[in-house]
Amino acid sequence: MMANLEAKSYMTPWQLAIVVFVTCVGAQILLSPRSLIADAEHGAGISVVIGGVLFYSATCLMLVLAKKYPDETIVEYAPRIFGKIGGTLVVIWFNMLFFLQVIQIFYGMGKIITFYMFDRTPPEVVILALLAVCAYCAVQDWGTIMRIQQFMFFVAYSILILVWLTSILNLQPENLLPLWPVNIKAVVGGGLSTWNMYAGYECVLLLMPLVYRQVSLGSLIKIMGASFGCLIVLFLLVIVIIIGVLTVDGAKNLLYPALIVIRSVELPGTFIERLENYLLIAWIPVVFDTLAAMMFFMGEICMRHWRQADHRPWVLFLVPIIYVGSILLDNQQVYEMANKFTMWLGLAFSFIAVPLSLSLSWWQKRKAGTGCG
Amino acid sequence: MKKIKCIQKLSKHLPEASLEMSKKKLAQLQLITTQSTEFSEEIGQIIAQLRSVAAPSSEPFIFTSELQENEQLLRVVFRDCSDIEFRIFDAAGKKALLVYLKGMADTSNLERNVLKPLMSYTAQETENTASLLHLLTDMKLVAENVLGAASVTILASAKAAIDAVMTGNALLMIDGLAEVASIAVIKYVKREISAPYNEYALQGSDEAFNEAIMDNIALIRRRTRDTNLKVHIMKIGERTNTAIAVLYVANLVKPGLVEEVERRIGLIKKDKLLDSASIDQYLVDHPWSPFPQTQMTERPDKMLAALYEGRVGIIVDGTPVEILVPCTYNVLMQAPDDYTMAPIIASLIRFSRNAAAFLAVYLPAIYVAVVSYHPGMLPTTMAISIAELRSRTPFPSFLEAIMMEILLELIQEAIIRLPAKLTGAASMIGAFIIGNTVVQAGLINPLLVVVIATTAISSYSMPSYNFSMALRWTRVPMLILASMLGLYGVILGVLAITIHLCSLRSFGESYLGGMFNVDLLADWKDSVVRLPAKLLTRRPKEFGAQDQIRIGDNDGQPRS
Repeated sequence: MMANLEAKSYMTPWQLAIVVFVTCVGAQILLSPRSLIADAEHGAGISVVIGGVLFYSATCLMLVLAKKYPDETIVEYAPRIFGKIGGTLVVIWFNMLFFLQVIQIFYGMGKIITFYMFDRTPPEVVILALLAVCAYCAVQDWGTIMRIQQFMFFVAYSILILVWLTSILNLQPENLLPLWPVNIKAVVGGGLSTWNMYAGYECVLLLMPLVYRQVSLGSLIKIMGASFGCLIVLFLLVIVIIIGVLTVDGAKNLLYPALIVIRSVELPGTFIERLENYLLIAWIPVVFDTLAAMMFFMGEICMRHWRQADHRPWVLFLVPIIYVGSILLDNQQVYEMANKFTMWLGLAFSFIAVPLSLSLSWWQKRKAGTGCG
Repeated sequence: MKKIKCIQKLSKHLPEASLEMSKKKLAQLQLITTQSTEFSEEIGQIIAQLRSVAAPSSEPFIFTSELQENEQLLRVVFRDCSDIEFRIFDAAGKKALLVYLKGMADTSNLERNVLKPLMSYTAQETENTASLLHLLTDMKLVAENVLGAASVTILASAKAAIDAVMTGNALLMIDGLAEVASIAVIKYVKREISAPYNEYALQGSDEAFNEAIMDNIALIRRRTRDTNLKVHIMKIGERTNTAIAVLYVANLVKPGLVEEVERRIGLIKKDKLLDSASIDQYLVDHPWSPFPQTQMTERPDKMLAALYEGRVGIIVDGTPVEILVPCTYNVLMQAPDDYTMAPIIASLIRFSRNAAAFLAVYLPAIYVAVVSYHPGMLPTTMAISIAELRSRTPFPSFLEAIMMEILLELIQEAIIRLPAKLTGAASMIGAFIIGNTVVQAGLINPLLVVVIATTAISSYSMPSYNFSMALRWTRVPMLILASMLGLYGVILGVLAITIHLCSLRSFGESYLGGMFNVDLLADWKDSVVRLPAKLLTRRPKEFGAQDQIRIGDNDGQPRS
């Protein structure tokens, strides 16, 4: 049995599950809770579960679609399904999803870091520094990026969850009441708005050619279910603790409630103080993981679309565009507008473009079968 | 006068004795002499041309059956080499020549096994002389029937013969034969097998490699009776022609790995190769990286253990530190003592070693970041105490840390370079300066001294010296990042180093990536921790050994 050869030309289903997990988590565990709690209030937890199930279904559709075109990514088969122009539009749409998420994460991350760690440093400096490191990672081959993601999955996430769990000390269970939401519509709406938290699962459309030979579709769907299960647990942990510590009213009036929650934790008799710094230290690698993967995906999409052999020039080409994009989101209103736009773009991609692709692909195959007699 | 008239010219009676005729004949003789000289030169040139046509371009000349001519050619090659001995002797009436390098060849062996058998026939004219004369018509017959040496090789190539002499072999040539015999009589002054200098094991073997390649191979062979352990010897270095042995276990090594190692060694274009470290730089994929991408060892037991995990060993003649590939972070963090102590203790030591590696790189940077940018992360009493200490020193924390680093590096360098008798004094002065004087002088605050001392001790605890040097190197960029961006900079530095280490590959294996690869989590049993020996039934998957099971029912055959 051979393992770990030169460039990775395949990945195991569990590796795909880890990649999906780390790509989805990203910055949103700190950036998104406020808007979700504001929308769904006490039902935010239920919205997280609804969102998880919804986007898991979307992922399953993507897996079915990708399985129909083995050895190809959406960049190659979209033009065959939608025609040359339609296919190009779908590819641009797909790439735009990553681009918009990346610039929003950079913006949010820059704000948080300057707010909590360097109040006198301009966010541009913070963004630029992380952008350089992400670009360094994104110009590596996929095998290297996958190893980094696994490394971070074990190291950064364990520290992040450990630090976050200390906030249970301040949890007031009565703050979680009522458990059942009054406003069902808001909860369902909240479920849709959790797209920002789960976004990133679209990467399966690019990575399936590396996995499909390793496992059947059924097993892959089950393994991906485990990945989404972990995501739901993690997001529930974040939302429930925020509400339990701050109450719904307290949380929706704060920009970054998760950091206020952790800041309020005191561990007397220990060496540890200002836990929000520890959380941020663990959160930066988590954000980096998502950003580096998305930047790689963007470079890969461009490379495949223009039929080139190397994604690196594209990553380097995209670096200044990402930087300018993240700087252009210069206030919270613009950011929230971009956030909403990206959400609808993402939802439309998952629930219109992908099912449509599947239907067209079935129709085209049936037509081809009929033509053959 | 009359008497004078009686004397007549000889030419009057013998016209051919006339002066004109003599001059004419002399001129003719001179012409013939000149022509003969020219003719001789032309013949010489023709012979040289013919010889150069016969000799292949890679050969300096070809041997002929004329011993005198062969000797002359060899003397030209070895001119001004006073340590080359040309010993001419008589073997059953035929001239023979023995050429060897004084100091590299065992002369008593030559006397016993070459000179004595050949010359004894000349001394006593017996009927055996006739049979020897028959044997002397073919070098192969001489080697098979006359020479008593253990290893004799018949050579036709002049280049191979010259190489053989330079390696310490003796060359036997017999008049009438165009072939030469290379007799293995290598014997030179060398260091005895001693204890390892840098990889001492508390309960392990005390044998270490020395500078002789054959001794080093023997140290490996002596520990195993496995015929699957293969040794390929190559010669590299245009001038030094250094012998390099590639060792591997044929039914374990990952397919293609040995070929790749040999390909890279074959691509080395260099005039001299004096040590394994210079070869190492030709083998690695990222020569600019500070991290070692090959493992160096002076322990034969360690090399053998690595060979049985599917890795490849490279032994270089003239150096006691040999190379193992592929090399990953995991193998660099393993020490021979890990296997001689209780598994639970070995696991704890491995954990502390990993923690030490982290501290060796990041501790000064974390100190600078926390003190300069995030003092709020410290308990209030400690923050006040640090502020008080820092108020006594004039420099910012970054500058203090850099000064301490420079001081530490200087002391370490001085201790390494000084003669052994002076290192104790240098250590004491260093300790005194760092521990006491700089603090009393108000240049550095005592907490930083503690931090830097902890860092230094952490880097000393690394099993690989090269890896510890790499950790020392990475401290400085980390300090710069910490001074510019505080803990954010430190985290970015951690990420950059992680990316670099995951992107590094040693013969296809990821340097760090294998550690947390979900496919290779089974390897944790002998990497992050060390399980009891009876649970280590499988080889590390990381190196892709053909037979994953160490002991089993497949008799060492590759598993399909």
